[in-house]
Amino acid sequence: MPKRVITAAVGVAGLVVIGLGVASATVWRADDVLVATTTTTDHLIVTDPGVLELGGDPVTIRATTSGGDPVVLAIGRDTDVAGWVGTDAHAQVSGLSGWHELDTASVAADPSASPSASPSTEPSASSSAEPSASASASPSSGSDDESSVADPTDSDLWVAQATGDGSARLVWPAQPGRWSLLVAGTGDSAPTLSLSWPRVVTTPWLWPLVILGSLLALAAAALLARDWNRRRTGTEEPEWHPVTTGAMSTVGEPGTLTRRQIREAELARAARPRTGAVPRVGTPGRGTPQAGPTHDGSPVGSENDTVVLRAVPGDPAAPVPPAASEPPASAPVAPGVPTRAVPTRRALRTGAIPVVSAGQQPVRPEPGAPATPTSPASPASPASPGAPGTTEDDAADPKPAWLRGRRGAAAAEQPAAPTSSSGTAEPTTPAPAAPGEGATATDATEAIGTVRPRPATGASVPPPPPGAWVPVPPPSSAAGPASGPRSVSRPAWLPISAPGGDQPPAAPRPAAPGAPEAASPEADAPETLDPAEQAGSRADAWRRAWGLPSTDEPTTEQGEDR
Amino acid sequence: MTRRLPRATALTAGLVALLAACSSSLPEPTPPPAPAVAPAAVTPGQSTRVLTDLGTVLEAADKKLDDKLLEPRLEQPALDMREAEYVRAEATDGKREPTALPTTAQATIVPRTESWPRTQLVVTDQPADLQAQRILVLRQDDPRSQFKLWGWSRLLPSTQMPPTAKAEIGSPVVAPDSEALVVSPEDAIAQYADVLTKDTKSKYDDDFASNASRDEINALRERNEKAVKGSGTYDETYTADDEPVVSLGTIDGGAIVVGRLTALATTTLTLKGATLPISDPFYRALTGKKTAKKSVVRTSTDVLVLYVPPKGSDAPMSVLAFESVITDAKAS
Repeated sequence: MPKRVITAAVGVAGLVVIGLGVASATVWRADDVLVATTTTTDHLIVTDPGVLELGGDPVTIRATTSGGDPVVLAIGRDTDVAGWVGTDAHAQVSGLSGWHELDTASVAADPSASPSASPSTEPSASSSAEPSASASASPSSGSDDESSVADPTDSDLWVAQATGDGSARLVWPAQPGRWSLLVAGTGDSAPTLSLSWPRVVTTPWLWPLVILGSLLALAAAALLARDWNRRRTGTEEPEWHPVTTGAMSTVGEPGTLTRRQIREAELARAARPRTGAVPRVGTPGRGTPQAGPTHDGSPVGSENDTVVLRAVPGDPAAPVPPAASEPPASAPVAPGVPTRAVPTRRALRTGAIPVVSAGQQPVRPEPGAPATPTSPASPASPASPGAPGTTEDDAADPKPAWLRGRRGAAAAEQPAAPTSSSGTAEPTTPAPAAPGEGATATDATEAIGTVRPRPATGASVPPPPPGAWVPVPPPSSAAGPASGPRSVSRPAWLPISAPGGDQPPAAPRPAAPGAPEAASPEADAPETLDPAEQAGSRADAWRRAWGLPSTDEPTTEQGEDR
Repeated sequence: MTRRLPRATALTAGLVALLAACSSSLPEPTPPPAPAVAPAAVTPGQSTRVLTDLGTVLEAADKKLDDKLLEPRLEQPALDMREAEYVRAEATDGKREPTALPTTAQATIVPRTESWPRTQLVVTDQPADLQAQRILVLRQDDPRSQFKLWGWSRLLPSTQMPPTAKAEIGSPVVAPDSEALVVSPEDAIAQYADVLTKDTKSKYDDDFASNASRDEINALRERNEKAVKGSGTYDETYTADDEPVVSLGTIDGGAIVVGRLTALATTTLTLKGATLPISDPFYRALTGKKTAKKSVVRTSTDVLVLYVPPKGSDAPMSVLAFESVITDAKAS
C-alpha cells in the first residue's frame, strides 16, 4: 500500500507541477502591459527623466480627473518642465515603488518665489507707452490662486502634449534625451496618472515544468497501471526476479571438445587400465589396490608375497575350499568370481591374484606362512622378472603377467593355465615348485606358443572358452597337456588356471566348458576386446571426431564391464 | 500569544521578502546623463511651431488690424511697433500696410541655455514683395510664457550673416558685459546709438562699418533739417535700451547682438507764429492734430542687429539689420 500511495503522490505532484507551469504562463504570467499608477492631491505631477522610458518603449500616459475636470499631459525637456513648474507644489514621480505603483513624492510650494514676475516686467517697462498691455500678455503666469494651477497647454516648451476633460491619453515613443512628463489638473480635482508600458513577457518555466510534470505523472501512471495489472492477474507479488547471470559454463560437453581432445581422451582411456569393474567385486576390488603396490614394490619375490597378501584379503576361505576340494567345481566358482573381478587386465591381474590366492590359499595354509609361497615363487620370480622386463614373451611368465598389458594378462593366463591345471591337480605343495619350473622353462615357451596361437588356436583349442580371458584354459588346455606336469607343480599360485586351464587337460574338460561358460560370456568380451577394443575405440574416436554415430557401444560397454 | 505575534510577523515578512526576491527587480529609470553643456533651448520643431503660430496670429491681427489679437505672440516692443503700423494702415486706408513679416525660417539661431529668458533669432525667407529678409527676434521671458515676437529687423542689403552654429546645436549666449568681444554687447549698442546720434562726430564712428541704414538715416535727417531750417530746429537722438536683448555667439567667436534703440526726432519751431502742418495721416492719427505750433516729437523704435567681432579682431563692428518703426508722435 505505501508504495501505491507514494506512486499516487508522485503522480499528483507531477500534475501539480504541470499546473504550476501552466499557471506560470497564464495566471501568474506577467502582464503584457506594465501599468503603474499614482494618485496625489497635487494638481501637478512631474516625472523624473527616465521614468517615461523605464518600462518599455512606447509609454502610454493616461491621466484622469474626477468630475471631468480638464487635465493636461505635456512632455518636455526635464529642465523645461522643471522650469515651468518652478516652485509650485507638485508631485514628483521618481520611479516605481511597486509593480503597479509609481514612486511619488510630494513637493511643497515655495512661497518665497514668485516665478516669472520679474522677467515679464522688464520688457514691458521699457515700453513707456502702455504697460497695461504687457500685463495681460502672460495669462498663465502671475496671479494664480493656490487652488487652481496654471495651464501648461500649448506651451512652446512641450514637444508633446494632450489635453482632455476628465482624462487625457498620450503615447510617447522613446527618444534620446531627458524628458519629463507634466500632468496638470487645471480643474478642481487632482489628476491620477497611470503609465503603461508594453512588456516582453517570457514564460521560461512553462515547458520545463510541463515536461517535468508530465514525466512524473506518466511514471506514476505506468507504475499504477502495472500494479493494477498485477493485481488483476493475481500476480501481485512477482514470483521471480530476472537475474542476469553469465553464460553457464559447459565443461566437458562433447560438442565443445576438439577432435584432438576426443582422441586423446580416447587414447588415455584406452591406455589406462580399466578399473571400472573393480569396485563391483568386493573382494578383488580390495585386492587390487594392494596388488598395485605389490607390483610396484617388488615384482619378483614380492609377487608371491603379494599373492599371499591378496589372498588374505580376498577370499581365502571361500576360494580355497572349493579350489581345494573340487577342482572342477571350484573352477566354475573361481572363475565366476575372478571373471567378474578381473574384467580388465588389471582386474585380471588382481583377479588372478585372488584366484591364485584361492588356489594358493590352500598352499599357504599348508605351508602356513607367506614365506613358503615366496620360496617357491622365488625360483619362478627370478625367471619372471627377467622375462617380464624384456618382452611379452617373457611376460609369459606368471609374474610378468601381472606386470601390465593384455599380453601380460595373457601371459598371466598362460601361466595360469598351467597353474590351473596344477591348481586342480595339485593345489598343495607342488605348487611352489611348479611355478618355478613351469614358469621358467616350459611355461615361457609354452606361453609364447600359447599366446600367439591363442588367438588363432584359442578358438580351436578350447571350444567353450573361445574368447574368454579364460583363453587361459585354451592355452592351458593346449599347454595343459604339454605343461600338465608342470602345471601340477605350478598350479598353486596361479589362479585362473583353475577354472579353464585345469579342466581341459584332464577330465575337467567337461567341467571346463562349464566354467568357461560361466566365464565365457564375460570372458569373450575381454578376449575380443583386447585386440578389437583398441580398434574399436579408435574407430569410435574417429567417428566422434567426424560426428558419426558410434557403433561400438557394445564394445565400450564390454570394456566397461570388463 | 504576545510572543508568537512578532514571530508570525517576522515569518510573514520573511515570506513577503522571499516572494519579492522571487520576482524580478523593478525597472528603474535610467535617463541619459544630463548634458554638460546646455542644449539648444528650442528644438527645430518647437521653433517651427512657434513661427507657425506667430504667422497665424499675425495673419489674423493684420486682417483686422487689431493689436489685441497680437498679444498671444507679440510683446514689447514688437507689440507697439505693430500697433503703430496698424494705426498707420488704418490712417492710410490700408495703403501703407504693416510690415510684411514672413514666418518661414531660412535660418534659425538658437540659444544654448536652460534658463530664461530665451531668445532665438529667425532669419526669414524673403517676403513676397521682394523686400529685405527679416530677422525675427523671438523671446520667451519665463517658462510659463510663450515665445513671442519681441521685434523684427530688416536685413541690410548685401549683408552676409556671420556663420553660426546649427539650430540643433545652438549658439552660446554671450553675456551683455562679455569681454570676449572687441566691445561688450551692451556697449556696442550704446556706441552705435551714439554714432547714429552724432554721426561722424561720434568717437565710435570708425568702429562701425558704414551701412545703408545709417546712410538712410543721415539722409533723412538732413532732409528734415533742411525742411525746418530757418523756422526751427530738428534734432534726432538715439538711445539704447538698458541692455541688449540677446547676444548669441557666432562660430568665429564673435556675437550677434540684438538691441533696441529709441529714437526721438524732435522738431522745434523757433520762429514765432510759425506752424507745422501735419499732413501725414499717420502722424495725424498719432498726434491727433493737424498742425503743430511748437514742436513735434516723433518716437521711433529701432531694432538693431549688430555683429561684434571677437576680441583682437581688426574687423569693425557691422550692422546686420536695422528696423525703425515710428511708434509715437506728439505734437504740441
